[in-house]
Amino acid sequence: MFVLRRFNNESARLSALLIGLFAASALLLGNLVYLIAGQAIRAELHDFISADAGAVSSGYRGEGLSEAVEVVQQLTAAPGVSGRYLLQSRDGHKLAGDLDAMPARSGMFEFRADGRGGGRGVHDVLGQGGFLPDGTYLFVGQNTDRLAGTRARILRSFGWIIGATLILAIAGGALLSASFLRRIDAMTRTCRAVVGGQFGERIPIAGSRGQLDRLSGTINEMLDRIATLLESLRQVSSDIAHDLRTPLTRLRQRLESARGKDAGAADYERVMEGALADCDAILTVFSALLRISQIESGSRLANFAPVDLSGLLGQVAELFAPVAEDGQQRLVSELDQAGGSGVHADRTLLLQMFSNLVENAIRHAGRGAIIRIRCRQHGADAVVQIVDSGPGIPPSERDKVFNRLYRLERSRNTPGNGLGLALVAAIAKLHRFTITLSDARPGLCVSIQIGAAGGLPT
Amino acid sequence: MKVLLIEDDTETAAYVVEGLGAQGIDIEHAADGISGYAKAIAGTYQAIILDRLLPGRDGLSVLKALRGAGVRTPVLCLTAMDGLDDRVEGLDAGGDDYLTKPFFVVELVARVRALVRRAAAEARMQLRAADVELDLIERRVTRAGRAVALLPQEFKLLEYLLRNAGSVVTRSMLLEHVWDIHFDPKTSVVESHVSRLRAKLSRGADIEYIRTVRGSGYMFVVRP
Repeated sequence: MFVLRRFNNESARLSALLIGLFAASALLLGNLVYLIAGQAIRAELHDFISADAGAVSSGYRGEGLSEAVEVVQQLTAAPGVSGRYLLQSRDGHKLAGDLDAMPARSGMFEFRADGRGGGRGVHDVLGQGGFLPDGTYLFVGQNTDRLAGTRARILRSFGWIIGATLILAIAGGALLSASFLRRIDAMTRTCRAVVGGQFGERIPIAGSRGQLDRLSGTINEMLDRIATLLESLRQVSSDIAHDLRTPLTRLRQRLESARGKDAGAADYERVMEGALADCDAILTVFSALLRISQIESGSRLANFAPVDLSGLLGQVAELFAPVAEDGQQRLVSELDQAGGSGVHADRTLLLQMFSNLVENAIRHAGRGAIIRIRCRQHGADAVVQIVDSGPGIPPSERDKVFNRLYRLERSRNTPGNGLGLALVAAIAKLHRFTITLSDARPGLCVSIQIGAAGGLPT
Repeated sequence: MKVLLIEDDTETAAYVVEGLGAQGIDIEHAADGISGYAKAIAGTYQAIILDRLLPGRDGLSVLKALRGAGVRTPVLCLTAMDGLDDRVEGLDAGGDDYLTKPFFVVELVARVRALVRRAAAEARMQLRAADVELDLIERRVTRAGRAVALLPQEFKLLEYLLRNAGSVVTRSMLLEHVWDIHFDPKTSVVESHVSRLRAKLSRGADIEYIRTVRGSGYMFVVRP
């Protein structure tokens, strides 16, 4: 099973291919060395042969045939050399040398001869035949044992090298493929576990920063994202269940009480009005929750475009100024014209975010309050502030007001569903804006810091 | 007025047919995209109400096909509640207005009437109702011949009311067409702006030009 799997996976196939390539290149290299070494040795033999032939010829030229015979005898008698010699008269009698008389043949050639002195088996002899001026035949040669021996040694060593290479490569490949398989198995196990419902499982990271680590990291990030989405989905479902039960119950009671009693047309009219208002409230909560979860899912990123922040805030100020005036409040805009020009964002969502914040100020700051909309450029960042002179939010509550359906104790009896600021938080998060709440002494100051890149997702 | 409704949900369709019928609007109903497209191509309607999600052929492709075939009838798209991007898609495909489900029939009637009227009076640059006149070229408003100074937003608000003079425009129609706001503000934005416009129009005269229609919206009165 294990062995089978070895050959049944990508890494094993890759190892086999590499081993094959490696062996082929070793073979090629061996052949080259074999050829080159053979040629070098052959050239050396040629040098020896011409040197010996030269010595015999010069002896002949100096003092005649007898000297040539003597030189050949000396050469033949020299111990431990591989030279082979024959000096043969015109009529075919051997005059000197260790080779037997043979048919005269000139030029470079190779033949098979008995060992020197008639012993030690047979040798291949390479040599040159030629005639001295008086017609005496001279053959000077060398045993080619050295050549053959070297060649055999080269072949042997390369045989060993290739063998060792194959063993090492197979072992290495198996090890590599085993570790690769282990990690792939870990990934598969994790994915299976997630499929099986264990959403907390993550792929272990080896820390090697290799491709596998990067893949694991990416899969883990994907799982994190899925977990966030699941959590937000779960949250929305429970919010809906929790927040809609109350108005639905109220609606039911209203309708039931109208059916129960003997009511006139005016009563029915009143009940209908109330029921419609209840339905509207329920639908508002519904769409707000859906909108928040849709924003949180990040699908709006596609609508991002450059937005003129000052212009947008000016529009918000113009829109709400009459509402503020009706509540004896003053809406003041202090907008830096260059502030936040070209912020990358979803215009519709920004409009809703700032509207929610301004409406929040209008509704909670009370009569006579002053509400300021500020926009300033701070270095690379733009900072938008919505400041009111109302009662503010106690520091301990500041984190919670952005939660869904959370309402401050004292504002429970003003209209609202506790989703306005949750929507603001979702929009800010989508755009990577930072929201901070602080004390305006008196009142609330909401600061939104908008980075140089705006909401450009990085 | 003859209107075509393309809607597969029988309950919604019955609600719309009954509601529009009660307002004296002649309505024909098609229950899927294919028969709806056939009717829209063949018939003469002043407006088409088109559901986005349809069996057979979805609303968006019906709309694109109609526009491709040169049918210029104003189309109002009905979209699902959570479809934030549906509005843009619908308008891009050649829709003229949209309404998010669930909706009230008064809202639908008001929008259909506005669509039909807009198609007829798109090119008009001088609007007049009662003794109020609005000149879009000179951006000037007069009442009984005397100039009324309005802020840009008030001018846009009056323009929209005048274009629909004599019929109801809802709060969300005003938010969308005057301020380009596609969510429901928690404060009385529309009320505040309307009351300012009212005060400026009626200054020095006891005439009610803009009437509040309870539970529906506002109406510019042609004969106050």
